[in-house]
Amino acid sequence: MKKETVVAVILGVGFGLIVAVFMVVRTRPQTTQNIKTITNSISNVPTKQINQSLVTNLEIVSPKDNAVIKDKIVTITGKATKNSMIIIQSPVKDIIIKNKETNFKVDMPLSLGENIIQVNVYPDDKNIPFQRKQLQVYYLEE
Amino acid sequence: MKKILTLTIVLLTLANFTYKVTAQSEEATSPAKASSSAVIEVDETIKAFKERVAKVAESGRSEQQALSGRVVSQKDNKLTVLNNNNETYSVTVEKDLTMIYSLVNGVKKEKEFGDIAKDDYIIVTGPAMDKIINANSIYIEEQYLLQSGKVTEINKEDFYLNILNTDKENNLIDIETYSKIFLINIKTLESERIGFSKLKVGDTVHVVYIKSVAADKKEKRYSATRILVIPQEYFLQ
Repeated sequence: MKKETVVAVILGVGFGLIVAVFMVVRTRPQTTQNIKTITNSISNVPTKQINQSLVTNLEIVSPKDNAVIKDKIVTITGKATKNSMIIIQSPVKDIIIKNKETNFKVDMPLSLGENIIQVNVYPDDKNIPFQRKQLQVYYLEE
Repeated sequence: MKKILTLTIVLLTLANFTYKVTAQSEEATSPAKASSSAVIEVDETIKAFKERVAKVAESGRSEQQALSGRVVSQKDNKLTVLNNNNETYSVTVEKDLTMIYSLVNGVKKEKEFGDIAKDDYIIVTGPAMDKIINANSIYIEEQYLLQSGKVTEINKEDFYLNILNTDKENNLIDIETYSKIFLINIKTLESERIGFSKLKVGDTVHVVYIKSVAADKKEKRYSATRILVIPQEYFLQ
């Protein structure tokens, strides 16, 4: 191998090493800075604070699903987050109430046959998610 | 005189006894033989009927059970019904005991087994065991469904709404001449009747509609019977 070729190879490898070291040194602080920026941006986003103690899971105490009712009216009782707008819908009627307490009680008229009843809860605090439950009861005069 | 009286009484008693025996033997001859098998059959039918009535009365005393679903097949007094949870039930119909009715707008009309067709929505009551129901009564009716979602499009030419429901599915809701639309007053929570033109994109709607098998097969497009609207302003409060 010629002397010039050896010198050129050594110079090339050396230059490559210098560039590599420079690149490593330059990129390391940038990565750290980026991470810091992301952390800052997350901490600046306003988070939805939900006080879980104020949230009541929707529960229908009565009637039971698939119950056979012998009266034209059924009383629906249940529990939901306080101060919610509760929409109770069936093919017969829509009932809208605001519950001041967690317990609620509503009289729903029934039609002969199957009655699908949906209870929808829209809490006053819009950060608390909407909840829904559905049941079907049968009003059969036999 | 006493002897004559005693003899007369004995003769009369004998005559009466002979008459009764003759009459009974006459009854017990050929006609009785011919009808004896029929009598046994009638007895068995009555016995089965009594047992069935007792069962029905027993099921009535205990908690009533009901099942609803679509008729998948109908054959030899038996129905196969698919309920809303996609479970298949076999329904046994007894000709003289199972009562069949149709329910239209809350009015009950008596029907026959032959009036039940495939895809009909029915309610069955009666004792059930291992997904087999001995039907006490069957009601043929329309299936109502409820759905809620946000209005994403209002077509004022073809009178339909496109709603994005809570399962993130788009459904088309046709507004018919019989559809009633109510808007919630967000201050009083009273609902008032409104026209189609008052609906806005972004409103939340709770829809009652009749499920049609044909509509299900074509596209998810349903005819609303009633719509309750929560104006978008409610969520901005």
